[in-house]
Amino acid sequence: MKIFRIDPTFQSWRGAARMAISNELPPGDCIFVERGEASLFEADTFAEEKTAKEIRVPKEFKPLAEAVACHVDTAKWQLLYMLLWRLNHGEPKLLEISSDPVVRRAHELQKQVGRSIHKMTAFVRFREFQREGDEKSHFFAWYEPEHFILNRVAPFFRDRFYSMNWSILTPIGCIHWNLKDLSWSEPVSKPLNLEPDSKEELWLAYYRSTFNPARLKLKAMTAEMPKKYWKNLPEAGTISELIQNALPRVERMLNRAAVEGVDKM
Amino acid sequence: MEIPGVEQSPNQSKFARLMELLQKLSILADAAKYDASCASSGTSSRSARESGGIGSAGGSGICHSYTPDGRCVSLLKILLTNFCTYDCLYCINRKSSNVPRARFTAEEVVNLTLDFYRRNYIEGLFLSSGIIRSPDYTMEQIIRVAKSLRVEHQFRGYIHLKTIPEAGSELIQEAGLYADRISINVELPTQENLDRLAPEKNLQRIEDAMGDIRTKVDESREKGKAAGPAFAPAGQSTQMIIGATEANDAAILGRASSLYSRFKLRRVYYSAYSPIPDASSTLPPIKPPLIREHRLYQADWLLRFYGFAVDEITPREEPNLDLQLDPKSSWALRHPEKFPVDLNKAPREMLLRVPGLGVRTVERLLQIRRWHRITFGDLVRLKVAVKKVMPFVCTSDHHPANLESRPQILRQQLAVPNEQLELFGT
Repeated sequence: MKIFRIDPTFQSWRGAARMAISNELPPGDCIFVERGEASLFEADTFAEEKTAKEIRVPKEFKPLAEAVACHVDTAKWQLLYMLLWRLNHGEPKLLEISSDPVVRRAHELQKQVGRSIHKMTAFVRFREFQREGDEKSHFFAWYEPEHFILNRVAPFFRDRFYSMNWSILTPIGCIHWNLKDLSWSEPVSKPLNLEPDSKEELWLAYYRSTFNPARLKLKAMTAEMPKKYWKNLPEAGTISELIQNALPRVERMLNRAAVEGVDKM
Repeated sequence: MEIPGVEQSPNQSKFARLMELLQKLSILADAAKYDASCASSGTSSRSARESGGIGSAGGSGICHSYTPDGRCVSLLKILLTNFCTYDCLYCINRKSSNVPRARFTAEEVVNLTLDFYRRNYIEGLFLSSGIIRSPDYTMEQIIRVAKSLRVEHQFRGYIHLKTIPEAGSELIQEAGLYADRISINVELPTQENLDRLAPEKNLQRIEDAMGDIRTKVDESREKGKAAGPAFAPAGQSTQMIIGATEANDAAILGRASSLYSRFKLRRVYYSAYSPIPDASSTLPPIKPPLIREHRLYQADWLLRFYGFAVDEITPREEPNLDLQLDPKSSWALRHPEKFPVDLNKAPREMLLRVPGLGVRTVERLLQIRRWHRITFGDLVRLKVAVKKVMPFVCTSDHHPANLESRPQILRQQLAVPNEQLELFGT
């Protein structure tokens, strides 16, 4: 058994995987372990035996592998190597067979990472903070991503909020934008204690009013906005009140319509 | 004027302004929510990085929140005003309704949009309005907001503008230069329906305006980017209200299909007629027909992505969709002679007609069968709803009996029981 110690990045895994393929190491004979992570295997760390060769893969492989590499499940490195090995050993069209269990699993991880990225672009909530003496305000958000996606979402926030100073703080690292450069800093473990800004009340009022009590569909809501996200969404604080009042509101509307209908007959 | 002895602190007036704005926002969001359209997708790719200012768009659109009615919050959806000279009976804002009225200034809408956008609450603005003074005047007010966002504030987020069919063509032209999407609601499927419930609305005028918009979209696309900003790059959409009249599903889908093909609409939204405060006594006080709305959306998908025609989904003898059964299964049970379909041989068009197979799964099956014969295990691993699909397909290791002898039994197996329909959505 050969152990490859890697950094938790696609690039680092790719370097190790190239080496492994060049040395014809089948997936059962090598493992990829992130530095700092304990390994059950007592085996030698792999020392270079042969220079890595260029490996040909279908063009779909890289975007798939880059996405899978963001997943929180560390079994992803072994899974990716399994794919790479098979693509290089008689199954060049493997990725087209989406019912293959390994391909299927890779697609699943890719999808979970994609969803996590999408939800982060949706559910980050900024609060404005104006420090005395500062000319421009700063927008702060606290968010808890499920996967290692900060590198992937940073350009989205930069391009969208280009004319704002902002920081997104998370337990896996922080991103900052100062109108010129993106920068990264160490993770923070707890949300900032930042007061709601003056516009948040308007947002809550909007959220309450745009809800139609006659169409209560809780499952549809929680399918797209699972409860785990609620604690960082200011509007989620109004949900239980909206649900409680929905039925009486609708009954009032229906009764009133019925009574008036009789009156006018 | 200074009143001696009374000092108004700046904080107090700030507070009063906030209260007023809160009240207006509550009224004018409530007034806009019966419009189901929420899309923020399919427009041109752009961002503040290229232009300064704020905002970005393009790609799949983002739903920033969900309300307990299961609907997404993507755009700040509001009316400029809910004062209205029209008297459409199904509408919460009709002239004869007693709802509280309010009107935003253009500046208030612009600031709300930017403030919400900066906090990542929304993708952009959906702006509609009651008709005040005249259609042209109203349209001009809507355009002022969009122009201010785009030109003064270099806003690159999404803008959906409701247009008024009676407004001048040059105003619609201008609206399309600032908006990603523009829309006109047809609301009801026939002129007879409109005459009864929305006497100021005219189907011919609505369709003429949609035709005009289609021409402008097509021309702008032909000219390409070099000719300046695209006209409504996310195209046009419309909405029909379901259940306010006795129009059947065949009439509704027939209208939808005709609008799709003649005016290249991106979307037709179906909105179950929903009880409103101070409803007209002419309309039934009903709970919104949510299941019917859901079946109509399924049928709409079959029309657009699965190659079905309206008369296949709602044939003359069954002009209403079966509430207990999805429309594709209904069609399959009316045509047992077409099944089972051989997944290893059938053409794409036929695979799309198999109940339980979506477009994505069909594409995957076509790809897989180039490399090996499809087995039942493939379906399981693709997470297909195998129980549903089983009676309708053959694989190399699965050969169900002919369907012709048992469409009734199958219907019982596939139908959603009535009790469950009652619980639908909750």
